[in-house]
Amino acid sequence: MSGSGSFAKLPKRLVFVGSGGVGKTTLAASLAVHFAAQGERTLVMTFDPSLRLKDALGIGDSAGSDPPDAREAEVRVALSQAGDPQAGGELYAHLLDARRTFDRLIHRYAPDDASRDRILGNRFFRHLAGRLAGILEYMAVERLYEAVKAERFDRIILDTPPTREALEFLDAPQRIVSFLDSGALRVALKPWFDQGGHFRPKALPGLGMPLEALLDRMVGIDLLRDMAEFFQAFAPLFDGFRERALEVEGLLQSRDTGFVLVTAPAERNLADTMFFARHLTERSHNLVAVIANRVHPAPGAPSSGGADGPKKSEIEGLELMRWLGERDRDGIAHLKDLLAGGPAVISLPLLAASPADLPRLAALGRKLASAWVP
Amino acid sequence: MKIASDLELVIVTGKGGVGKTTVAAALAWGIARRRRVTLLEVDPRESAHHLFAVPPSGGEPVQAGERLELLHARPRRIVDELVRDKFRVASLAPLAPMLRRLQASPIYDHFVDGAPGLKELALLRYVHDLVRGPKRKRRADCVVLDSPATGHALALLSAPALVADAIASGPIATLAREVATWLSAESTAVVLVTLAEELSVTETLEAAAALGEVLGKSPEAWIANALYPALPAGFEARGPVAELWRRRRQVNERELTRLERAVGEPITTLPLLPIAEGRRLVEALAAELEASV
Repeated sequence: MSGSGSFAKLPKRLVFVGSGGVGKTTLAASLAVHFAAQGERTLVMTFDPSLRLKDALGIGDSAGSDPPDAREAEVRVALSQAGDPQAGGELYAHLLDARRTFDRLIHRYAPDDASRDRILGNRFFRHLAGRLAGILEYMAVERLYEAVKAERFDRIILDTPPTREALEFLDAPQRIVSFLDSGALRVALKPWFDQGGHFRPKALPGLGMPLEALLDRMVGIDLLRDMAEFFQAFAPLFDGFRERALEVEGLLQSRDTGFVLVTAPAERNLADTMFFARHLTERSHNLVAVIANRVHPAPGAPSSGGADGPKKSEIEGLELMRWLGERDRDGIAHLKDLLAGGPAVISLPLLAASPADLPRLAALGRKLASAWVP
Repeated sequence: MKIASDLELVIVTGKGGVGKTTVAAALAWGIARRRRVTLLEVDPRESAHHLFAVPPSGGEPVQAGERLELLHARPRRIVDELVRDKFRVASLAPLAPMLRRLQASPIYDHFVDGAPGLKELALLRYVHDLVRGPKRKRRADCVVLDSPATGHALALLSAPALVADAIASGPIATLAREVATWLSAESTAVVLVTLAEELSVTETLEAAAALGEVLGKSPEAWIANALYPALPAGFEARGPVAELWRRRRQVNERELTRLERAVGEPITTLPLLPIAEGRRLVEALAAELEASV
């Protein structure tokens, strides 16, 4: 197998996107196993794999002991059961954890230990910052960026987080930049509190005390104090963050980053799929393929019964299966119409069970790759 | 299926792609036989509206059947309303123009986006007011919430307690405590929807445990959706289609048993139906739910 040659056309980085429950994670892992089995040094980054998939990739235990240094969080997967050992490929898997990535950024950008500890020890940060809108999404692309910079991989596959609107993470870098550039930050950074921790804004001389009482009644002055402290402590890191967010955004727009949109095949999923496809292309992202996943077999496939054909009791079930086959076939035909001239449209069949070991992941990856690059 | 007849709120959640919206619609349809129901959705794509084949509403209530209306909650509008209501007290009247200016500024956008728990709290308060609020806000006897997928549902439902914890006093804290108490009360319930498939069942069990911690109660009902048909006795059909049917059904049965054992009570099941979408599907599923008492 000299597979790498035919893959040369595929982008070096592939980002799997789509609604929840369509099989993104399994497909991302399968394709990664296949690339590695073909001799490539491959990294797959995933958010929320099932236990069995974690076991298959051997990343089940790494989550608890992810060290601050990113590289070591990538676990080398033993490929012996999945590919040709002569091919020389390597597979690494990384389980993404937004909070840990965020902590790591702070370790990196804090100018000194004291400011780092001030942030990590801040109550607002500990309880609430991990849930700040967009952080989870942003951290996924942030990790992609780290992996690209490391230049250790021929191919990187990113499985995206289960976000509510599925594409939120694309906007995350821009949102970080716009927050950092907005007046909100300047306001947050003003010296609202005096040395003694009392609300005494210099711009409103004399009003401090009544306003403090009012704010305390409204939202609680402790919370505001924690927030103010957090932003003060965070301020030295902002330049690094901003610059990086811009680079991350550039990475997502690069031609070397291809998006793979995974969808269910039925007609009723089309509106969502087209919404995602339009969103991606409108923002000049490189949408390279749409995968209609878990397709029921086309009607007309022979199903015979026993000696006398299907029994009466079997007919209803077989009819339903036929209906599902027609539904999926029609959905895909419509999808191909709508996407004509655009990204590759690939159908993958519904399997009897979701693949959960390396050989079966490799088989699915092979099927996907050969449907994509014949 | 049996669910308490006096519920004020039914929160329907589950892993992505399990058919939450369809099941929520079927539940709402069933409850609406006797009581006034609002089916509330938060997804901007308005899939429940799509399901009932009514045009996107932009946030206005739409009648979908007798005693049943659809409503799309738009988070931003709801947060604005909360901020206006809570900060419009007599002592702040002189600040009203400032508040209006603030709400029009990008700083406010970032605040609404970033303030942890604010959007969630505002949404739940809105839901609360639909059944319990002042007369002008009350619209229904029962709200069926087509909630986001499990991870986000958890963030949504834990927000009031979290906010109450972070803010010691003041009107927002009081509101957060009220809403948290209501969510833990008997008049609200969670219904978990799953496919009888490994990933989905595992995530549903995890979600139930986490929800139990947040709300202090277990789900009102478990619904396994889209089951392949049972295999007739002496099944002997051959060919790839029959084989796929047999294998998928076997997975369904294995996972259903696993779920039942873990939960310790029977699971309501819904069949995979040869109806693509639309009101007919909702009605058919509602009939299945009714029949499975």
